[in-house]
Amino acid sequence: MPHPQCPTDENIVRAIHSAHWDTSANRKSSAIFRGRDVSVSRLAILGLGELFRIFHATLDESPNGAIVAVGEINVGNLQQIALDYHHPTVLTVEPDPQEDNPAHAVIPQHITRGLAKVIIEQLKIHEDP
Amino acid sequence: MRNLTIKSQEGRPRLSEAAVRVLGENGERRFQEFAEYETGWNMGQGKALSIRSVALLERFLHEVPELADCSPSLFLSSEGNLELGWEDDRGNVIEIEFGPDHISYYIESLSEDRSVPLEVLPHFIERIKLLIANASPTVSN
Repeated sequence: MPHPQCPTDENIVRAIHSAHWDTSANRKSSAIFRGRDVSVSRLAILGLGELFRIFHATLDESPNGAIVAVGEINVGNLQQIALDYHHPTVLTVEPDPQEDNPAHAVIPQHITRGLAKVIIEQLKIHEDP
Repeated sequence: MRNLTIKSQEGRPRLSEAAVRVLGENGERRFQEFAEYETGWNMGQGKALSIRSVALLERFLHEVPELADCSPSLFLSSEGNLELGWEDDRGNVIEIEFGPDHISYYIESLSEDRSVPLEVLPHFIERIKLLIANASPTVSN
């Protein structure tokens, strides 16, 4: 049975860790969006403020860096970017609610470094308020 | 592979002077932060810094000191591997991840996005040196 998918008019966000964004050089790693089962959160379920609180809950008062921002993108735009890439890729965003984050979803397909870089360029960045 | 990793008195890895010359103070500071990350960083998904990755990065930086001119950024992948990223003079991205037994890289100008075993490291280093010198290396492993 196919997995349910988030509709194309929804917007999602990806948490950006300080290890993946060199803010001094304003340079981002493809690690923000590459690989398989990329975790994202649905803005249709929780707002940015609630999501930042969830992201901080696991990191504050630890030596493990920080979530410095989130990157927002529309699901339909994300899918079109992947289809337009020189190695066309079908991406889906599948709801995967968790106890600590009911807005959690995953992108199950493998995202290459090159495609991740193109996606990252299209993210609307929200820094921690 | 020759182990160039240096450890501090606290037992954490630290970068050699040659590596710091390439990465700069910002890169050194980021490295020190990464060395303190515990398994589970990045919301449960990150592995601790790989010592083999540090050794591989050190070897690379010793052999490509001219990379300092590109002011590369240092990143840590969720697999615990160090990663370098910079742009060529046309703004095309170059990204290299130093895994324990492989190198994964992306060279935008050549549309190359792949992983190669460590056996090809000497050849890979030569290709990167050519890229930095703004030459046009042959696309091959």
